[in-house]
Amino acid sequence: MNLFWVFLLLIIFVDLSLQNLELPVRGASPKLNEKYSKIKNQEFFKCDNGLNEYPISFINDNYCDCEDGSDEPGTSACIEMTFYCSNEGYVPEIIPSSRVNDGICDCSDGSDEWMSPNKCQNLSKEKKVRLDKQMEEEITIRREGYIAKLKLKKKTEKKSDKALQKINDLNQEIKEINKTLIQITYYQSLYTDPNKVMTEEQKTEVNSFLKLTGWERFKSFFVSSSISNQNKLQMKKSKIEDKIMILQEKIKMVDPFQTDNQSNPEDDFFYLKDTHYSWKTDDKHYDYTFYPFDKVEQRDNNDRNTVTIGRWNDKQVTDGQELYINGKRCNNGPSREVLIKYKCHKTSKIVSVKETNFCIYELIFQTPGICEDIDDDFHDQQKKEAIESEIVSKNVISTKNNNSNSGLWKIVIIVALCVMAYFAYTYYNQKNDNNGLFQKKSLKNE
Amino acid sequence: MKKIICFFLFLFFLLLCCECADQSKFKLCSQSTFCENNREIRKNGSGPRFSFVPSSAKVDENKNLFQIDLLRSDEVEPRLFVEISSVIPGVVRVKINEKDPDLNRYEVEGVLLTENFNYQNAEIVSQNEELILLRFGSEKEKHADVKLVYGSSWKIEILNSGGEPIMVLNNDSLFNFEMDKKDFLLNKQKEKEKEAEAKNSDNEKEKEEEEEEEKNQEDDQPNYEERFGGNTDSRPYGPSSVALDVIFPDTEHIYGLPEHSTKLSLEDTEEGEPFRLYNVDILEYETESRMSLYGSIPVIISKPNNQKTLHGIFWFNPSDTWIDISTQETQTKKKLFGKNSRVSKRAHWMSETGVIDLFIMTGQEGKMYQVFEMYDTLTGFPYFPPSFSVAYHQCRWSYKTQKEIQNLNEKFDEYDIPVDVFWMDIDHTDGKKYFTFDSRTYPDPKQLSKTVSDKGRKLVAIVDPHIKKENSWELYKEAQSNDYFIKKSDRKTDYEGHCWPGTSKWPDFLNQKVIEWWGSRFSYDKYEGSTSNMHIWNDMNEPAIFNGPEMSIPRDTIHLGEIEHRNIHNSYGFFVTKGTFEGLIKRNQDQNERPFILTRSFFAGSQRYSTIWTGDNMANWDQLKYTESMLLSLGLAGAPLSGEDAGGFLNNPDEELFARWFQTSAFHPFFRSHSHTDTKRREPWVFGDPYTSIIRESVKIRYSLLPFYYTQFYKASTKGKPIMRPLWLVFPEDANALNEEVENFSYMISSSMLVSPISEKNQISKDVYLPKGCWYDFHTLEKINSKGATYKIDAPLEKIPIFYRGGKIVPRKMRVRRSSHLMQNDPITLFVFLDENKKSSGSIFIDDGHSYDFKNSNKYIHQKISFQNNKLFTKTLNSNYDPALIERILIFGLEQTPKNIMDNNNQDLIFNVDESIDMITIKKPNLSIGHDWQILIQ
Repeated sequence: MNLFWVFLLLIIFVDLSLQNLELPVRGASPKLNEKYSKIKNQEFFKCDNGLNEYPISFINDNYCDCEDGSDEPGTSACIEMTFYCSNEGYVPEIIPSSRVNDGICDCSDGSDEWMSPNKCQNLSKEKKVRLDKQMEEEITIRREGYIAKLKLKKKTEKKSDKALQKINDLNQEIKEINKTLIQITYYQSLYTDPNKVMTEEQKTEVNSFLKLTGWERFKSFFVSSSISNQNKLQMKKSKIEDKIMILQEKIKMVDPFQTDNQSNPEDDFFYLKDTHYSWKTDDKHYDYTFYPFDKVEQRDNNDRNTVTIGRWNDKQVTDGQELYINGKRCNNGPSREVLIKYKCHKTSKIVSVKETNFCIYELIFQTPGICEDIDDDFHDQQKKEAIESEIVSKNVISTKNNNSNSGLWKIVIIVALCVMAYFAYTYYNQKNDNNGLFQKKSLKNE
Repeated sequence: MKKIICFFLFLFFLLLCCECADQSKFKLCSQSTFCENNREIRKNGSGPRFSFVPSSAKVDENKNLFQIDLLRSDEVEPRLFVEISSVIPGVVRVKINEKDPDLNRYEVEGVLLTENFNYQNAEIVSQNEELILLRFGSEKEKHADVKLVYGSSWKIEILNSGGEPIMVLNNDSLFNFEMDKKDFLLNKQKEKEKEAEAKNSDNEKEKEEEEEEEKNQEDDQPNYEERFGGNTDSRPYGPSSVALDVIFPDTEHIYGLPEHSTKLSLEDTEEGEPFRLYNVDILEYETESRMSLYGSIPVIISKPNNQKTLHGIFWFNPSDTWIDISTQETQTKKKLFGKNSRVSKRAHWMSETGVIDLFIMTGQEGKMYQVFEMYDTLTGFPYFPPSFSVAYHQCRWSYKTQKEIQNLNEKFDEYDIPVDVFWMDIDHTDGKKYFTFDSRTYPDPKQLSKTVSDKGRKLVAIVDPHIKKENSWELYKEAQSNDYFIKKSDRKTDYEGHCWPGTSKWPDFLNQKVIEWWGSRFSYDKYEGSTSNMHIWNDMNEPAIFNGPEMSIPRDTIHLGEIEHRNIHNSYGFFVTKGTFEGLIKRNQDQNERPFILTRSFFAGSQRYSTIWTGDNMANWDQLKYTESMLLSLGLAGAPLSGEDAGGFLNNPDEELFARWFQTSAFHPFFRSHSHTDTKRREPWVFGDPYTSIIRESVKIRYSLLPFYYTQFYKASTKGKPIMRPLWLVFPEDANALNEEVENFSYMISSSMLVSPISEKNQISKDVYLPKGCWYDFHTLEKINSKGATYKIDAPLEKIPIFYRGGKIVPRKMRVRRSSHLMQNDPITLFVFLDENKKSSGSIFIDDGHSYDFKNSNKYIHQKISFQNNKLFTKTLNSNYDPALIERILIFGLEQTPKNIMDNNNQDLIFNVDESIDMITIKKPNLSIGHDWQILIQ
């Protein structure tokens, strides 16, 4: 190191023997305090980076001595440092050192504004009470959500069983009908094959097959030609074929994923299929409608225009969110897309929609499908802490923006704009009788 | 196939059309009759010749004014006169107007600080057949000499103390004063008189004949209509342009004429378009273009060769003005050896109408800043805005809801980026009716104001001068019933145009009553939702009108007193800010709070009411590059409080451009990020690291320098000195400072810091010229002893070249917090940079940051701090405010290791020395700004 520090500390000025570090050191984390407790009775301490050594009295003397800022855990003297709010009885908080003694209460226990002791109240207790209540509420919400999810799942599973039964029934029916179809084909061949001559027995059989009603039987006494029987057979055949088609359609409708009773990734949200949810912005300017497994639409209530802002892209929900892409292209911009963030709740609805970036939306949707199991005793400490920190910090996930810079759409838009501008211009000129474009010319002619 | 080819050709043609579409909205000189005519006169030498009438020369009784008539060579009676006076020591006013008072030409009122001048004594020193020599002021004091030269064409020389001309008026006889239509009108009047006589004589036949004659004459009446872009200007008074050439002898560099996106030194224009001053709303303006932009200051500052002074000329005319610049080389006989040529500059001023009214500011040798003080004494010193406005501003078109701003208020803290002001663009209003809030999106603006002020932050709301035509709106009704709107050329009906709210009208700010009414609308009870925490942004005040000629109001619309708009055009925006300023003062009962106003349009004098920004720039490297010369030019023309939309208003900047833009913008007097509604979001955290960190760092640097910047703002408001300065202003002896690269792409903050922005993509180092002296790298604090040379300076993405100047003391506050307000009580760190003589000096101003107490009750601290003979000491000019503690003093460049350092009580101070960068750090000296003290280094 080319850093050379010269110290001229007169003993008279700084009486080292009187220094005693008071513990805990203000603004220091428990870990740091542990470190300080070891050097409590020493005269000097070393900065965290080990570079410099200073008298103990330099700790928290509201002047930044250490290059790494480690001598000032409790003041704003060192920049880019942190202050530890112990918040006894509540969750500890860590704030930037620049917020110490700036006139705003940041720590829940008010310990950051120690220069003006009466400014801040210690809200730790109240916050703890509130946090516990919030935790309880949150856990209730999640638990209820999970129960709702299980119920819905059962329903869809039941629905699946039923569907399966129905599919079997339908398949059975198709089988039955198919038999008849084969029979008809056989009879038809009797008529059409020139090498075969129909026996009376066969004729009666066909007749009895065709003439199911008394009227037909009666009719056959008068009209008994092979041609009419052939036509009848043909008619019957096409009727049966239609019926098979309808049955097959029915099977499709019952089982759109054709999953053969295997569980599929959408199972958790299966109940959302063919539903939709709407939400209005505060200013009532826009309506948003979410069609799960399909799309999200935005309706402008001023011009009554509806645009699709994102389409389902057949991907799974990961980390509680899902991106619907390829919405309508923005004027002068990219395709709209919408990030759907799922939030656990026993009922399903849109919580909010906002445009987080130019033509990029974020839709928060509460629904049971995302809920996870929370056991009764709530042993899962990690999960609990996660929920707790979520509540405490109310962390808002920052949106990350991808720059989609493709030159092509720009050109397309320029061209489109030019066309529009040109038409507007010509229209304008027509209105203004030869002013405008030709004005320059006419001036010169004058 | 043919069809397809045709289609593509069509598209190609359209693309071409599209590219030039915006420019074609605005006139070229050749499309402006008077500009073309005056240029024609210059080319052909075809102009009318005027000469002095020596017998008419006289000084008035009070010895205030000198007058002399001007006679046109083809006329017998002089119709014009010249009036010369000196309204401020060293400032010469030359006015040329018609003698005939029948149809008065418009003379500007309300722009100058005062119209009650303290005239300097006028005296004819000598007089002969060839010339008159005038002197204004006494010999002993600052005085100005003016020489009038007779001859076939009049000529006026303004002389310096050595008797050498510093400006010559009408040297090339380009003076023009059009009166054609007026002649016609006068003739017509005479005809009428005759007609009346004829009636008396009862001779009907004669009368009929005369009527016929009159009819014929009416047919002969020349048509002065001027058409452009589908609009017709009726020009009922015909041509009335005024023009004059001004020579700046022995001068290679002249500056000023903002606002143009050109290089700083005014370039020759005769090959192309002249510089134009006509305030317009121009979208996507181009760099290196002499087209007019949003504001106009008709001031040229001349820097005579090899002299340490500046002179200025203020062409006091707010009508459409074009200026041609040219270079003249004249042979001189004085020098025996070497080159005998002398380079001079000429400005050919051409205004559409009005009178010729010039203020010539003559600087004395050795006084570089005198010209600014003179100009500001005339038009007003810059206003002193509240301290929050010196900090960082966050804007976008638009933050559409109250929630969005509340969210920003949190986000900036989350990302640990300081910010002082959130801006509300047009969408916060109820249907673009200014002075209102949209109750659906901004349900509780007062609550919003409180939320942000809890963190020491402010709001700025936009208020534009177009008033929505909506009969049910109380404000509109009030203006309507009082007849406050500008009239159409018919003088009866209100002019209506199209702007953001749809059909709108424009208040006639020429009417003092309208200014007062406008101001009254800012009172808290009328402007519902506004608070003392909210300040104002005046946009679209050129005025901008979507369907008007050149995107503005027709020139033949009528203001109070039958004044045609063409007469006042460039001053409209000025008057809007005047009304706003007065209103914001009056909204507080004690009238003791300083307003902050941002304006897009401006004129001479705007500096006393508002901060200026450079309008709708674009997010590209070129625009970033030219921002510096635009702001420098504004500073030289008396408007030092200016900035630009950091990041570029239109289009999307890439991460690098955005970060680089913040790095330089952080040093501009006004520091605001703004973006168009069609652009992607670009709040500082959007791009992510490393860019967000770079932006954070830039903003934090600005905050740490706030004590220094605030002092510069105060000094600008008292001395008129620019805050951003070209290097040659600080180093007038250094010829290299006039080099194009140096002049345009490096600048000084006051005379203490040098900033050289990076304005090219992928650039990681820059050749920076450092004038002779000691310089200290802002980032590393390493010293460079420059002999006046160019140094290659590292400039990776994280930093741009910035230097402290040896010999300057810079006060900083290193504890950067969430907003400037929260830093108010923080201790100060003094950075003392020694020059080669181990000397240094600086000053600091402190007050409450928001009131006029500093002025009304002297409640402020102004202290000079100097270093000399190993002693750091203060001189307190005023100390009537809470002292500010000094936590640290850093002394650079002493080149010795002290044995001890003592304060004035002989107390030893704790210090340490970092020899690697020759820095002495004095820890907690227990001193404060506001008390006198000294420190001795032994």
